[in-house]
Amino acid sequence: MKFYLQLLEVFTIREIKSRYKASLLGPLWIIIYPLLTTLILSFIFEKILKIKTEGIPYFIFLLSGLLYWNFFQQGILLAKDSLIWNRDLMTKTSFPKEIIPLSFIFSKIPDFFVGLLILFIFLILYNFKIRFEILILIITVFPMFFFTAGIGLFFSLTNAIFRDFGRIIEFFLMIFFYISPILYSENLIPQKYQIIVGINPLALIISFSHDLIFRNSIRIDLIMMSLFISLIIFIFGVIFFRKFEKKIADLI
Amino acid sequence: MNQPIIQIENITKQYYLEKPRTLKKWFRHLFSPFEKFTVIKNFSLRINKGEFIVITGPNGSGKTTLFKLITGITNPDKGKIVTRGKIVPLIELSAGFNAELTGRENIMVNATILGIEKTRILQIIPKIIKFSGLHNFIDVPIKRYSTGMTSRLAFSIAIYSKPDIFLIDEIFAVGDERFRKKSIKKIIEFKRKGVTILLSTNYNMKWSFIDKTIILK
Repeated sequence: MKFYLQLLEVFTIREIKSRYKASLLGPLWIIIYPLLTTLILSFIFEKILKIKTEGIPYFIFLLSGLLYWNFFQQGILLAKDSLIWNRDLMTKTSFPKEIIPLSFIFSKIPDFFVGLLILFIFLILYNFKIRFEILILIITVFPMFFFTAGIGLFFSLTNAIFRDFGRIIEFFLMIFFYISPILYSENLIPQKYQIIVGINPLALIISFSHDLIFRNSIRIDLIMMSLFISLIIFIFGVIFFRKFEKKIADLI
Repeated sequence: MNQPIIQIENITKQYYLEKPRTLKKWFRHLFSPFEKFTVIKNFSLRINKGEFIVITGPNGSGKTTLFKLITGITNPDKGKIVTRGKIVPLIELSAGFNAELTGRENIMVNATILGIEKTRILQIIPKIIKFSGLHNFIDVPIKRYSTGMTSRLAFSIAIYSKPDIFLIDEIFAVGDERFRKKSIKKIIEFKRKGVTILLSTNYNMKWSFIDKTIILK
Protein backbone atom coordinates (compact mmCIF):
# COMPACT_ATOMS: atom_id res chain seq x y z
CA MET A 1 0.00 0.00 0.00
CA LYS A 2 2.79 2.38 0.92
CA PHE A 3 4.58 1.43 -2.25
CA TYR A 4 1.39 1.99 -4.24
CA LEU A 5 1.17 5.54 -2.93
CA GLN A 6 4.82 6.12 -3.75
CA LEU A 7 4.19 5.01 -7.33
CA LEU A 8 1.19 7.30 -7.57
CA GLU A 9 3.13 10.22 -6.13
CA VAL A 10 6.20 9.75 -8.28
CA PHE A 11 4.20 9.34 -11.47
CA THR A 12 2.01 12.33 -10.71
CA ILE A 13 5.07 14.50 -10.15
CA ARG A 14 6.64 13.09 -13.31
CA GLU A 15 3.55 14.07 -15.29
CA ILE A 16 3.27 17.57 -13.82
CA LYS A 17 6.97 18.31 -14.24
CA SER A 18 7.19 17.10 -17.80
CA ARG A 19 4.00 18.95 -18.76
CA TYR A 20 5.49 22.37 -18.15
CA LYS A 21 9.08 21.65 -19.21
CA ALA A 22 8.71 22.76 -22.81
CA SER A 23 6.26 25.54 -22.10
CA LEU A 24 6.85 29.28 -22.02
CA LEU A 25 4.08 30.25 -19.64
CA GLY A 26 4.41 27.02 -17.70
CA PRO A 27 2.12 26.66 -14.69
CA LEU A 28 0.54 30.03 -15.47
CA TRP A 29 -1.73 28.04 -17.76
CA ILE A 30 -3.44 26.71 -14.66
CA ILE A 31 -4.79 30.22 -14.09
CA ILE A 32 -5.25 31.26 -17.71
CA TYR A 33 -7.23 28.22 -18.80
CA PRO A 34 -10.29 28.50 -16.53
CA LEU A 35 -10.46 32.27 -16.93
CA LEU A 36 -10.26 32.13 -20.70
CA THR A 37 -12.82 29.33 -21.10
CA THR A 38 -15.21 31.10 -18.73
CA LEU A 39 -14.76 34.41 -20.54
CA ILE A 40 -15.46 32.94 -23.98
CA LEU A 41 -18.50 30.95 -22.91
CA SER A 42 -19.94 33.74 -20.79
CA PHE A 43 -19.76 36.12 -23.75
CA ILE A 44 -21.66 33.70 -25.99
CA PHE A 45 -24.26 32.53 -23.52
CA GLU A 46 -24.84 35.75 -21.62
CA LYS A 47 -24.58 38.40 -24.31
CA ILE A 48 -25.80 36.47 -27.34
CA LEU A 49 -28.08 33.71 -26.09
CA LYS A 50 -29.11 35.67 -22.97
CA ILE A 51 -29.40 32.80 -20.54
CA LYS A 52 -31.04 33.70 -17.21
CA THR A 53 -29.52 32.45 -13.95
CA GLU A 54 -31.76 33.67 -11.13
CA GLY A 55 -29.93 36.99 -10.90
CA ILE A 56 -26.54 35.37 -10.31
CA PRO A 57 -23.79 37.08 -12.33
CA TYR A 58 -23.31 34.74 -15.25
CA PHE A 59 -19.50 34.86 -15.24
CA ILE A 60 -19.30 33.56 -11.71
CA PHE A 61 -22.08 31.06 -12.23
CA LEU A 62 -20.23 29.63 -15.22
CA LEU A 63 -16.89 29.60 -13.43
CA SER A 64 -18.29 27.53 -10.56
CA GLY A 65 -19.46 24.80 -12.95
CA LEU A 66 -16.57 24.92 -15.40
CA LEU A 67 -14.18 24.23 -12.55
CA TYR A 68 -15.55 20.70 -12.35
CA TRP A 69 -16.01 20.34 -16.05
CA ASN A 70 -12.41 21.28 -16.81
CA PHE A 71 -11.13 18.67 -14.39
CA PHE A 72 -13.42 16.00 -15.79
CA GLN A 73 -12.69 16.75 -19.42
CA GLN A 74 -8.95 17.17 -19.08
CA GLY A 75 -8.70 14.12 -16.85
CA ILE A 76 -10.51 11.93 -19.39
CA LEU A 77 -8.52 13.31 -22.32
CA LEU A 78 -5.20 12.70 -20.56
CA ALA A 79 -6.20 9.25 -19.33
CA LYS A 80 -7.38 8.03 -22.72
CA ASP A 81 -3.94 8.51 -24.25
CA SER A 82 -1.90 7.74 -21.14
CA LEU A 83 -1.23 4.09 -21.99
CA ILE A 84 -0.49 4.83 -25.65
CA TRP A 85 2.01 7.52 -24.66
CA ASN A 86 3.63 5.13 -22.20
CA ARG A 87 3.74 2.05 -24.37
CA ASP A 88 7.22 1.13 -23.13
CA LEU A 89 6.07 1.17 -19.54
CA MET A 90 3.18 -1.13 -20.43
CA THR A 91 5.23 -3.68 -22.34
CA LYS A 92 8.59 -3.57 -20.63
CA THR A 93 8.18 -2.84 -16.96
CA SER A 94 6.33 -4.47 -14.13
CA PHE A 95 4.17 -2.56 -11.65
CA PRO A 96 0.40 -1.99 -11.21
CA LYS A 97 -0.36 -0.27 -14.48
CA GLU A 98 -3.54 1.52 -13.39
CA ILE A 99 -1.08 3.92 -11.79
CA ILE A 100 -0.49 5.43 -15.23
CA PRO A 101 -4.01 6.73 -16.01
CA LEU A 102 -4.66 7.45 -12.33
CA SER A 103 -1.54 9.59 -11.98
CA PHE A 104 -2.46 11.53 -15.12
CA ILE A 105 -5.83 12.37 -13.60
CA PHE A 106 -4.23 13.06 -10.23
CA SER A 107 -1.93 15.57 -11.88
CA LYS A 108 -4.98 17.76 -12.55
CA ILE A 109 -5.98 18.06 -8.91
CA PRO A 110 -3.69 21.06 -8.21
CA ASP A 111 -5.39 22.79 -11.14
CA PHE A 112 -8.74 22.19 -9.48
CA PHE A 113 -7.66 23.76 -6.22
CA VAL A 114 -6.20 26.76 -8.01
CA GLY A 115 -9.52 27.04 -9.82
CA LEU A 116 -11.34 26.94 -6.50
CA LEU A 117 -9.12 29.75 -5.26
CA ILE A 118 -9.86 31.78 -8.39
CA LEU A 119 -13.57 31.23 -7.73
CA PHE A 120 -13.21 32.48 -4.15
CA ILE A 121 -11.38 35.58 -5.38
CA PHE A 122 -14.10 36.35 -7.88
CA LEU A 123 -16.81 35.80 -5.27
CA ILE A 124 -15.14 38.50 -3.20
CA LEU A 125 -14.74 40.78 -6.24
CA TYR A 126 -18.45 40.36 -6.98
CA ASN A 127 -19.26 41.32 -3.39
CA PHE A 128 -20.62 37.94 -2.40
CA LYS A 129 -20.76 37.34 1.33
CA ILE A 130 -18.11 34.73 1.94
CA ARG A 131 -19.09 32.39 4.72
CA PHE A 132 -17.04 29.75 6.40
CA GLU A 133 -19.24 27.01 4.93
CA ILE A 134 -17.86 27.72 1.48
CA LEU A 135 -14.84 25.61 2.42
CA ILE A 136 -17.09 22.56 2.27
CA LEU A 137 -16.54 22.79 -1.48
CA ILE A 138 -13.16 21.12 -0.91
CA ILE A 139 -14.83 17.76 -0.32
CA THR A 140 -16.28 17.79 -3.83
CA VAL A 141 -12.83 16.74 -5.00
CA PHE A 142 -13.58 13.15 -3.90
CA PRO A 143 -16.62 12.31 -6.03
CA MET A 144 -15.11 14.35 -8.86
CA PHE A 145 -11.89 12.36 -8.78
CA PHE A 146 -13.51 8.93 -8.45
CA PHE A 147 -15.98 9.60 -11.25
CA THR A 148 -13.28 10.87 -13.61
CA ALA A 149 -10.91 8.06 -12.65
CA GLY A 150 -13.49 5.30 -13.17
CA ILE A 151 -14.33 6.51 -16.66
CA GLY A 152 -10.71 7.38 -17.39
CA LEU A 153 -9.53 3.85 -16.52
CA PHE A 154 -12.12 2.36 -18.84
CA PHE A 155 -11.26 4.61 -21.77
CA SER A 156 -7.50 4.32 -21.30
CA LEU A 157 -7.69 0.57 -21.94
CA THR A 158 -10.26 0.59 -24.71
CA ASN A 159 -8.57 3.43 -26.54
CA ALA A 160 -5.24 1.59 -26.38
CA ILE A 161 -6.71 -1.32 -28.37
CA PHE A 162 -9.27 0.39 -30.56
CA ARG A 163 -8.56 3.99 -31.44
CA ASP A 164 -12.25 4.30 -32.32
CA PHE A 165 -12.84 4.99 -28.66
CA GLY A 166 -11.02 8.27 -29.10
CA ARG A 167 -13.91 9.32 -31.33
CA ILE A 168 -16.52 7.90 -28.99
CA ILE A 169 -15.04 9.92 -26.15
CA GLU A 170 -15.60 13.12 -28.11
CA PHE A 171 -19.32 12.40 -28.30
CA PHE A 172 -19.38 11.23 -24.73
CA LEU A 173 -17.80 14.45 -23.51
CA MET A 174 -20.07 16.62 -25.64
CA ILE A 175 -23.16 14.92 -24.24
CA PHE A 176 -21.91 15.21 -20.68
CA PHE A 177 -21.14 18.89 -21.11
CA TYR A 178 -24.69 19.67 -22.14
CA ILE A 179 -26.52 17.42 -19.71
CA SER A 180 -24.65 18.92 -16.77
CA PRO A 181 -25.90 22.23 -15.37
CA ILE A 182 -22.82 24.21 -16.34
CA LEU A 183 -24.23 26.70 -18.86
CA TYR A 184 -27.69 26.77 -17.30
CA SER A 185 -29.11 26.46 -13.82
CA GLU A 186 -30.35 23.05 -12.67
CA ASN A 187 -33.66 24.78 -11.84
CA LEU A 188 -34.26 25.33 -15.54
CA ILE A 189 -34.48 21.61 -16.24
CA PRO A 190 -38.10 20.49 -16.71
CA GLN A 191 -39.43 18.09 -14.09
CA LYS A 192 -39.52 15.06 -16.39
CA TYR A 193 -35.82 15.41 -17.21
CA GLN A 194 -34.68 15.96 -13.63
CA ILE A 195 -33.44 12.37 -13.61
CA ILE A 196 -30.52 13.56 -15.76
CA VAL A 197 -29.20 15.48 -12.79
CA GLY A 198 -30.28 12.83 -10.31
CA ILE A 199 -27.97 10.09 -11.54
CA ASN A 200 -25.14 12.05 -13.15
CA PRO A 201 -22.35 12.41 -10.58
CA LEU A 202 -20.94 15.48 -12.29
CA ALA A 203 -24.32 17.24 -12.36
CA LEU A 204 -24.87 16.33 -8.72
CA ILE A 205 -21.54 17.89 -7.71
CA ILE A 206 -22.23 21.04 -9.71
CA SER A 207 -25.76 21.35 -8.26
CA PHE A 208 -24.32 20.89 -4.80
CA SER A 209 -21.79 23.63 -5.36
CA HIS A 210 -24.39 26.01 -6.89
CA ASP A 211 -26.66 25.47 -3.90
CA LEU A 212 -23.84 26.07 -1.48
CA ILE A 213 -22.48 29.21 -3.15
CA PHE A 214 -25.61 30.91 -4.42
CA ARG A 215 -28.51 29.57 -2.36
CA ASN A 216 -26.90 29.17 1.04
CA SER A 217 -28.05 25.57 1.38
CA ILE A 218 -25.89 22.55 2.08
CA ARG A 219 -27.42 19.63 0.21
CA ILE A 220 -25.56 16.71 1.76
CA ASP A 221 -27.90 14.31 -0.08
CA LEU A 222 -26.58 15.53 -3.45
CA ILE A 223 -22.92 15.08 -2.59
CA MET A 224 -23.50 11.68 -0.94
CA MET A 225 -25.43 10.43 -3.96
CA SER A 226 -22.65 11.67 -6.23
CA LEU A 227 -19.98 9.98 -4.12
CA PHE A 228 -21.96 6.75 -4.07
CA ILE A 229 -22.39 6.57 -7.86
CA SER A 230 -18.82 7.72 -8.46
CA LEU A 231 -17.40 5.03 -6.24
CA ILE A 232 -19.39 2.33 -8.02
CA ILE A 233 -18.11 3.59 -11.38
CA PHE A 234 -14.57 3.77 -10.00
CA ILE A 235 -14.68 0.21 -8.66
CA PHE A 236 -15.99 -1.05 -11.99
CA GLY A 237 -13.22 0.86 -13.74
CA VAL A 238 -10.55 -0.75 -11.58
CA ILE A 239 -11.98 -4.26 -11.98
CA PHE A 240 -12.22 -3.82 -15.74
CA PHE A 241 -8.67 -2.50 -15.91
CA ARG A 242 -7.18 -5.29 -13.80
CA LYS A 243 -8.97 -7.89 -15.88
CA PHE A 244 -7.56 -6.76 -19.19
CA GLU A 245 -4.26 -5.05 -18.36
CA LYS A 246 -2.12 -8.14 -19.12
CA LYS A 247 -3.78 -8.56 -22.50
CA ILE A 248 -2.99 -4.95 -23.32
CA ALA A 249 0.73 -5.58 -23.06
CA ASP A 250 0.39 -7.88 -26.08
CA LEU A 251 -2.02 -5.76 -28.06
CA ILE A 252 -1.00 -2.14 -27.54
CA MET B 1 14.41 -24.66 0.80
CA ASN B 2 15.11 -26.84 -2.20
CA GLN B 3 12.25 -25.34 -4.12
CA PRO B 4 13.36 -23.70 -7.37
CA ILE B 5 13.26 -19.90 -7.40
CA ILE B 6 11.75 -19.93 -10.87
CA GLN B 7 9.54 -22.78 -11.96
CA ILE B 8 8.22 -22.77 -15.51
CA GLU B 9 5.89 -25.58 -16.45
CA ASN B 10 4.86 -26.33 -20.00
CA ILE B 11 4.18 -22.79 -21.08
CA THR B 12 2.98 -21.77 -24.50
CA LYS B 13 2.79 -18.18 -25.65
CA GLN B 14 1.26 -16.94 -28.85
CA TYR B 15 1.09 -13.44 -30.26
CA TYR B 16 -1.28 -12.05 -32.85
CA LEU B 17 0.65 -11.53 -36.03
CA GLU B 18 -1.78 -9.09 -37.47
CA LYS B 19 -4.05 -7.60 -34.98
CA PRO B 20 -7.71 -7.82 -36.01
CA ARG B 21 -8.18 -4.15 -35.43
CA THR B 22 -10.36 -2.75 -38.15
CA LEU B 23 -13.89 -3.80 -38.98
CA LYS B 24 -12.88 -4.91 -42.48
CA LYS B 25 -10.29 -7.30 -41.09
CA TRP B 26 -12.75 -8.58 -38.55
CA PHE B 27 -15.06 -9.69 -41.38
CA ARG B 28 -12.26 -11.24 -43.37
CA HIS B 29 -11.17 -13.27 -40.39
CA LEU B 30 -14.61 -14.09 -39.11
CA PHE B 31 -14.62 -17.63 -40.43
CA SER B 32 -10.97 -18.45 -40.08
CA PRO B 33 -9.11 -18.15 -36.83
CA PHE B 34 -6.83 -15.15 -36.39
CA GLU B 35 -3.35 -15.79 -37.51
CA LYS B 36 -1.19 -16.38 -34.50
CA PHE B 37 2.49 -16.75 -34.08
CA THR B 38 3.78 -19.21 -31.53
CA VAL B 39 6.80 -17.80 -29.78
CA ILE B 40 7.22 -20.34 -27.01
CA LYS B 41 5.82 -23.85 -27.14
CA ASN B 42 5.65 -26.37 -24.29
CA PHE B 43 8.61 -24.86 -22.57
CA SER B 44 9.64 -25.95 -19.09
CA LEU B 45 12.50 -24.74 -16.95
CA ARG B 46 13.57 -24.89 -13.32
CA ILE B 47 16.06 -22.43 -11.97
CA ASN B 48 17.54 -22.69 -8.51
CA LYS B 49 18.52 -19.86 -6.26
CA GLY B 50 21.86 -18.31 -7.10
CA GLU B 51 22.18 -19.80 -10.56
CA PHE B 52 23.57 -17.82 -13.45
CA ILE B 53 21.70 -18.71 -16.62
CA VAL B 54 22.50 -17.51 -20.11
CA ILE B 55 19.75 -17.64 -22.68
CA THR B 56 20.72 -17.43 -26.32
CA GLY B 57 18.96 -17.81 -29.62
CA PRO B 58 18.36 -15.84 -32.81
CA ASN B 59 16.13 -12.76 -32.99
CA GLY B 60 12.49 -13.63 -32.45
CA SER B 61 13.24 -16.86 -30.65
CA GLY B 62 11.45 -15.71 -27.53
CA LYS B 63 14.18 -14.47 -25.22
CA THR B 64 12.44 -11.23 -24.35
CA THR B 65 9.05 -12.93 -24.27
CA LEU B 66 10.37 -15.43 -21.76
CA PHE B 67 11.55 -12.56 -19.55
CA LYS B 68 8.21 -10.82 -19.85
CA LEU B 69 6.44 -14.01 -18.84
CA ILE B 70 8.70 -14.54 -15.82
CA THR B 71 8.17 -10.95 -14.73
CA GLY B 72 4.41 -11.20 -15.22
CA ILE B 73 4.15 -8.36 -17.70
CA THR B 74 2.20 -10.75 -19.88
CA ASN B 75 0.55 -14.09 -19.13
CA PRO B 76 1.20 -17.42 -20.87
CA ASP B 77 -1.62 -18.94 -22.95
CA LYS B 78 -0.96 -22.33 -21.42
CA GLY B 79 1.08 -23.61 -18.52
CA LYS B 80 2.13 -21.82 -15.39
CA ILE B 81 5.02 -19.93 -13.90
CA VAL B 82 5.87 -19.72 -10.22
CA THR B 83 8.54 -17.33 -8.98
CA ARG B 84 9.82 -16.60 -5.50
CA GLY B 85 11.35 -13.29 -4.54
CA LYS B 86 11.75 -9.85 -6.01
CA ILE B 87 12.30 -9.76 -9.76
CA VAL B 88 14.05 -6.84 -11.41
CA PRO B 89 13.74 -6.96 -15.18
CA LEU B 90 16.01 -4.97 -17.45
CA ILE B 91 14.17 -5.51 -20.68
CA GLU B 92 14.58 -2.14 -22.24
CA LEU B 93 16.77 0.16 -20.26
CA SER B 94 15.09 3.39 -21.19
CA ALA B 95 11.53 2.11 -20.68
CA GLY B 96 10.80 4.08 -17.54
CA PHE B 97 12.47 7.27 -18.65
CA ASN B 98 10.73 10.46 -19.55
CA ALA B 99 12.74 12.42 -22.11
CA GLU B 100 11.77 15.85 -20.77
CA LEU B 101 12.90 15.15 -17.22
CA THR B 102 16.47 15.36 -16.01
CA GLY B 103 18.61 12.38 -15.11
CA ARG B 104 18.10 13.02 -11.42
CA GLU B 105 14.31 13.29 -11.76
CA ASN B 106 14.26 10.11 -13.80
CA ILE B 107 16.19 8.23 -11.14
CA MET B 108 13.27 8.79 -8.78
CA VAL B 109 10.73 7.44 -11.27
CA ASN B 110 12.78 4.52 -12.49
CA ALA B 111 13.88 3.44 -9.04
CA THR B 112 10.26 3.48 -7.89
CA ILE B 113 9.27 1.26 -10.82
CA LEU B 114 12.00 -1.14 -9.74
CA GLY B 115 10.43 -1.24 -6.30
CA ILE B 116 12.87 0.80 -4.24
CA GLU B 117 11.50 2.70 -1.27
CA LYS B 118 11.64 6.48 -1.33
CA THR B 119 13.91 6.98 1.67
CA ARG B 120 16.35 4.47 0.21
CA ILE B 121 16.26 6.15 -3.20
CA LEU B 122 17.33 9.43 -1.63
CA GLN B 123 20.22 7.60 0.02
CA ILE B 124 21.42 5.82 -3.09
CA ILE B 125 21.12 8.69 -5.59
CA PRO B 126 24.77 9.78 -5.04
CA LYS B 127 25.93 6.17 -5.49
CA ILE B 128 23.90 5.81 -8.67
CA ILE B 129 25.35 9.01 -10.08
CA LYS B 130 28.85 7.88 -9.16
CA PHE B 131 28.49 4.45 -10.75
CA SER B 132 26.97 5.88 -13.92
CA GLY B 133 29.77 8.46 -14.19
CA LEU B 134 27.29 11.09 -15.35
CA HIS B 135 28.07 13.85 -12.85
CA ASN B 136 28.05 16.59 -15.46
CA PHE B 137 24.84 15.48 -17.11
CA ILE B 138 22.67 14.49 -14.19
CA ASP B 139 20.64 17.72 -14.19
CA VAL B 140 20.19 17.76 -17.95
CA PRO B 141 17.02 16.37 -19.60
CA ILE B 142 17.40 12.77 -20.75
CA LYS B 143 16.58 13.78 -24.32
CA ARG B 144 20.05 15.35 -24.52
CA TYR B 145 21.72 12.06 -23.52
CA SER B 146 23.35 9.67 -25.94
CA THR B 147 22.01 6.11 -26.10
CA GLY B 148 24.99 4.84 -24.17
CA MET B 149 24.55 7.43 -21.45
CA THR B 150 20.88 6.58 -21.04
CA SER B 151 21.58 2.89 -20.60
CA ARG B 152 24.42 3.62 -18.21
CA LEU B 153 22.05 5.55 -15.99
CA ALA B 154 19.36 2.87 -16.17
CA PHE B 155 21.77 0.07 -15.39
CA SER B 156 23.23 2.03 -12.49
CA ILE B 157 19.75 2.38 -10.96
CA ALA B 158 19.01 -1.31 -11.42
CA ILE B 159 22.08 -2.54 -9.59
CA TYR B 160 20.93 -0.75 -6.43
CA SER B 161 17.46 -2.32 -6.51
CA LYS B 162 18.38 -5.35 -4.37
CA PRO B 163 16.85 -8.03 -6.60
CA ASP B 164 16.46 -11.72 -5.81
CA ILE B 165 16.12 -12.44 -9.50
CA PHE B 166 17.82 -10.23 -12.04
CA LEU B 167 16.72 -10.45 -15.68
CA ILE B 168 19.10 -8.78 -18.10
CA ASP B 169 18.05 -8.54 -21.71
CA GLU B 170 20.85 -7.94 -24.24
CA ILE B 171 22.15 -4.85 -22.61
CA PHE B 172 25.80 -5.46 -23.19
CA ALA B 173 25.46 -4.18 -26.70
CA VAL B 174 25.55 -0.66 -25.28
CA GLY B 175 27.83 1.31 -23.02
CA ASP B 176 31.53 1.82 -23.58
CA GLU B 177 34.25 -0.67 -22.76
CA ARG B 178 35.00 0.80 -19.34
CA PHE B 179 31.40 0.78 -18.26
CA ARG B 180 30.93 -2.76 -19.58
CA LYS B 181 33.79 -4.05 -17.48
CA LYS B 182 32.42 -2.23 -14.44
CA SER B 183 28.97 -3.74 -15.02
CA ILE B 184 30.28 -7.26 -15.46
CA LYS B 185 32.19 -6.91 -12.23
CA LYS B 186 28.99 -5.84 -10.51
CA ILE B 187 27.09 -8.81 -11.93
CA ILE B 188 29.74 -11.22 -10.67
CA GLU B 189 29.37 -9.56 -7.28
CA PHE B 190 25.62 -10.23 -7.43
CA LYS B 191 26.26 -13.83 -8.29
CA ARG B 192 28.48 -14.18 -5.24
CA LYS B 193 25.75 -12.72 -3.05
CA GLY B 194 23.38 -15.43 -4.24
CA VAL B 195 21.28 -13.41 -6.65
CA THR B 196 19.74 -15.48 -9.43
CA ILE B 197 20.68 -14.01 -12.78
CA LEU B 198 19.23 -14.62 -16.21
CA LEU B 199 21.04 -13.00 -19.07
CA SER B 200 19.92 -13.08 -22.65
CA THR B 201 22.39 -12.49 -25.42
CA ASN B 202 23.14 -13.13 -29.04
CA TYR B 203 26.77 -13.76 -28.39
CA ASN B 204 28.44 -16.91 -27.28
CA MET B 205 29.46 -16.23 -23.71
CA LYS B 206 32.23 -18.28 -22.22
CA TRP B 207 32.43 -17.09 -18.66
CA SER B 208 33.45 -19.55 -16.02
CA PHE B 209 30.63 -18.61 -13.68
CA ILE B 210 27.82 -19.53 -16.07
CA ASP B 211 25.84 -22.41 -14.60
CA LYS B 212 23.68 -23.23 -17.56
CA THR B 213 23.16 -22.08 -21.13
CA ILE B 214 19.73 -22.42 -22.66
CA ILE B 215 19.35 -22.18 -26.40
CA LEU B 216 15.96 -21.14 -27.75
CA LYS B 217 15.09 -21.76 -31.35
